[in-house]
Amino acid sequence: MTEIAEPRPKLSLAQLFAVFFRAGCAFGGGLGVLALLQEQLVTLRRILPDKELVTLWSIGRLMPSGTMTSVAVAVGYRLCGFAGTVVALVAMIVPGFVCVVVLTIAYGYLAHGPVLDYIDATLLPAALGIVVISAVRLGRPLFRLSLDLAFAVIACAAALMPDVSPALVILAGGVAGAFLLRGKEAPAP
Amino acid sequence: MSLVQLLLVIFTYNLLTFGNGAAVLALLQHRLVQDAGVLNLDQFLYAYALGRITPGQNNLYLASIGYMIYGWLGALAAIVAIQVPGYLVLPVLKGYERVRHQRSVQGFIRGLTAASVGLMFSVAFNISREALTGLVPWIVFLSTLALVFLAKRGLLLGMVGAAGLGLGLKLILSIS
Repeated sequence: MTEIAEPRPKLSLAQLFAVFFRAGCAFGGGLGVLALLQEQLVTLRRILPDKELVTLWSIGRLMPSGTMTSVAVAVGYRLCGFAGTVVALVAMIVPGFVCVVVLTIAYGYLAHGPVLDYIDATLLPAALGIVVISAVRLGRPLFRLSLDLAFAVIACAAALMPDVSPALVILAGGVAGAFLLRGKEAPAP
Repeated sequence: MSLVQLLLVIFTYNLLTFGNGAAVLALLQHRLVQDAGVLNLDQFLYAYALGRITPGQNNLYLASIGYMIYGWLGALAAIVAIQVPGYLVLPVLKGYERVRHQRSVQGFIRGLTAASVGLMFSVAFNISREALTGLVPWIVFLSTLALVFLAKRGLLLGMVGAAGLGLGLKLILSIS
């Protein structure tokens, strides 16, 4: 099982800012940001294992805030202590925040024109691409016949049903796992 | 509606709905558009649309709402209001650290993680229903995969490159 809670500085605050700023430039909402974090922290810098990032994301889904907010706080704290939480959050938010406010200022010009539709039609499919890549990379350890894979398939089907809360699906997965997966060998990565 | 009232509304709705975007949206629309009348529906929907087409988390659209009502101060305050609850994860992780060696807790985390992976695919499927609505979106989507997997470009470069290609195609198609 992975370690999570204790801070373990492996990045300077400036490097942490750079990682989260880059992640904050991703389109596709929280999963797009997660994809960039996975690329930076897991694949390129090898600071966090895949499993730990997914675990933090899972726990983040259960928190009463945006999921990636919790992930940024958790990862920032883990890597650089309390200062890291602030740096990670600010860095992750700045790109989107600036874009949102600038486009809000331009409301009068853009609200009824075709520009937003063009952006939507081109950015959303690209964002979908990195969301799919992120899901495949982070889910790779589960892609073999196992009880864990069954959990993932059932959760996916449940989340696609109307009016089902994603937080509830994840929580149900955890509770079921506490009974059915305890003491069992995890699928090899 | 004062700035403090606006922040309390955003903070409380976010907290009560566990950050569930759709639920927050419905509550906010009712409170800000119907009840308080501080935004019209067009403004509200525009702000929400910005959350989809700008980088970062989708809930950054709340900065747009804050800006429309109280300018820069409103935008900043709205963002702070939605980030603060994220700190609750620290005591949760501290608690987890104490019990993580227990077999049932390990099973809980494994179930949680597996369900989360399933959830990621469901999110991808839901986005695909909205995003893949024609030839250009499909080209953009497949180009992103090709740039990242085949050309070994980074995610950000792959995404921006494919979106740029799509924008170019859209412009050409609209002119011709």
